[in-house]
Amino acid sequence: MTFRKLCLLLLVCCIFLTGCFDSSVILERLSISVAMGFDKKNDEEMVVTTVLLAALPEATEASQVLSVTADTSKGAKDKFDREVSRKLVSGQVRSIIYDRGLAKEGIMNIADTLSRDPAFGDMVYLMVSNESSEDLLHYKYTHFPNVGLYLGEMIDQNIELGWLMPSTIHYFRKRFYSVGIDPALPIIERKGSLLNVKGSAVFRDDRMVGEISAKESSYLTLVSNKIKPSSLQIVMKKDGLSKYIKHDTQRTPTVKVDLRNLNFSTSVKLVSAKDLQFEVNVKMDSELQEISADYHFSIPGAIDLLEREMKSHLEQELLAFFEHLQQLGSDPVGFGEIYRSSVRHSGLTKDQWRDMFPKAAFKTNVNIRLVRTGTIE
Amino acid sequence: MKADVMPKPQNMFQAYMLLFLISSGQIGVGIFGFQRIVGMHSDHDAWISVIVAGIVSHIVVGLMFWILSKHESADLYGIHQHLFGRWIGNGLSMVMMVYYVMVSVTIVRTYIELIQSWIFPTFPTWVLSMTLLLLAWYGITGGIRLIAGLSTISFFVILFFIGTLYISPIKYASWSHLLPIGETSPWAIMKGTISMGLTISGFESIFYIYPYIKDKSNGAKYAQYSLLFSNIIYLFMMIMGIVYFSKGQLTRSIWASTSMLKIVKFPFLERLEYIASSVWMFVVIPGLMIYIWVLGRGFKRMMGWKQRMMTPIICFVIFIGSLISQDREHIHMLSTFTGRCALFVVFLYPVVLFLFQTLILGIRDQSDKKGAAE
Repeated sequence: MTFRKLCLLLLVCCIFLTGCFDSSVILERLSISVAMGFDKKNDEEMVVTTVLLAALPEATEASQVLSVTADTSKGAKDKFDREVSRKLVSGQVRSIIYDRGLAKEGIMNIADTLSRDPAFGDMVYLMVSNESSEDLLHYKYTHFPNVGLYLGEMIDQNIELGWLMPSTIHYFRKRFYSVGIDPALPIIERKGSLLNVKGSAVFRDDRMVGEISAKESSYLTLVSNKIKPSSLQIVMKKDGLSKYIKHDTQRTPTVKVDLRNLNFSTSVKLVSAKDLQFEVNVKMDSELQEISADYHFSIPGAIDLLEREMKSHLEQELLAFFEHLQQLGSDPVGFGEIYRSSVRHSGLTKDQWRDMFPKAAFKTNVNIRLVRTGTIE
Repeated sequence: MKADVMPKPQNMFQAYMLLFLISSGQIGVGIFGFQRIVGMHSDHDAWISVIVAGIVSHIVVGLMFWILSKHESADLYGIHQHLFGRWIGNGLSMVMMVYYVMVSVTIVRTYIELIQSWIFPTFPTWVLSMTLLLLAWYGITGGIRLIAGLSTISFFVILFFIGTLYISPIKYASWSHLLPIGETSPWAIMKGTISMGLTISGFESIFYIYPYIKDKSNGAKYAQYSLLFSNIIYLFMMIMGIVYFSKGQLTRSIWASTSMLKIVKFPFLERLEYIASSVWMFVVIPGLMIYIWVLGRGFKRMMGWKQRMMTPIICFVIFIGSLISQDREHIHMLSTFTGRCALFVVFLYPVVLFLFQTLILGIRDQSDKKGAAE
């Protein structure tokens, strides 16, 4: 064999030798963590729960849930190592759950730890659990095999439908480190043997200061998110619409309308920097999906009236929502960011905005256009 | 030694190769983390700093070609001797060479740190350093034409990576971060521009590869195009850094460009940043090779030592240099210091040299005329 051929052979060997590098990471020899829960135990310690994918084919359960008490999240990892037979890896973690106790104290420390570690992706969802996350994760759900995977998918699809703000680590850190915008994370609760998104927790810096309902969460995405809610329910007083209601058989004093939102354009503007007045403009093209009264759509003016009623109702709802946020002292919409970006040399700091936000005034301007009423009138 | 060098025709290349050579010399590891450094100085107006730095680099390259055009086919080593005589000229060249060693060490060490922080935390520095330098040595034995060829690959890797991978992060952009435009003071923007020094440098190799260009009259044109390309890439990455991260978050991200890739996800591949930082070796190596080649040329031109012999020795020196700094603080200090030097060597020195050359050649011309008249 010539020298050249030998060299070539060695080179080819080198290519395959790369497979020997770091051979401790083999899928069959890993415990893959898919979700983690953090609960406050006392001032010093927390309870950390992790949901593992069961890699053992002979296991009866599809997941394995472990809990340990630790004072740091990496300390918990060391304790988990003593409880599992295979190397614990966290590259597949999809959801991180905090209980209210920790969320109220501040979670930035844990969020930064996750971001510091390149093993975690930035698309990990953060959420707050209504009860302790230990209970939430340890419960034996009958409808799905692995609660960790289920949670991640659940949040994912809610974000895609525009019900929730994207609650990834990146999103949380981005908002924490910026002036005039606060994070909001979904609140998860267990309802019997199912899981449910209860609403959103709103934060001041990294501390949870209050919660908003699921409906308010959709208003939040409507005003500030790129993905807008896919449908909206509007509950109005019947009086204004009674003119066009045919047979008023129901006793309820309200009319409920369900809209599928086809097209949205939202803009938030700072109208006056001196008076700190914001104008929120919402323009939406919608399709009526359901109406709880027998409404005469064919009469001229009927649709106009309905649009007007819905408009004024939604405007008030949004105003009430902003007021609620002002009371809580949290600005997940990002009015502060709009202030900062529209006023030159504002030099806005977080503390300044904390004082200014409750004094802000809002004007809402909703424009609903009913494009269709479905396939029937 | 004469100022002019006449390389063999088979070692020369067409001027359009400068398009790849210069941009791959410029774009290297710096692109992963420059946003943070510039952003620290000039906040959300950091992109203006990048544009200013770009314009400055265009002017400097213009001057460099002006200096070179006064000679037939010279490199900086020759020009130094021609202008300042043997001792001072070679002394100046030596100073430049020390700087190139520093830059090479910085490139190697920063890239290794990237690999260690993102992919293999326990990977020993010397193994990676040796791998990189052995590859560089192997490449340099092929001469400048081979380096130019590799640069072409690196050019398309840059184009492909930046053009495809950074589409996803755009979806998460908050464009209001850019407003209000021009809020930062001009002084802060200047400081940001200055901190771009090391990142944008890399075009100084023109001084040495100039003799190897076949059609020298086209050189300046392609060099400027190449600069424009890398400046646009830098501008794009800077704007991405500002809109994707919030201000406080950006100043905490050591490798902003890699962090941005953390959200890119394919069904078959979840963690793209691993692939990206590994493939980036294709971009880092040609840049490193250009510097080592320039160093080897220096020994050849000044002392007459064979480049083939000197290349492994230079690689070994860089290897030793890359082992000295071990922690983040050291590496940060190293790159800050090299960045300072880059300002003088890459940006200020061509201006000074331009003035000196005009002066000295002017005086010589006059005395020549006098001599002719007598």
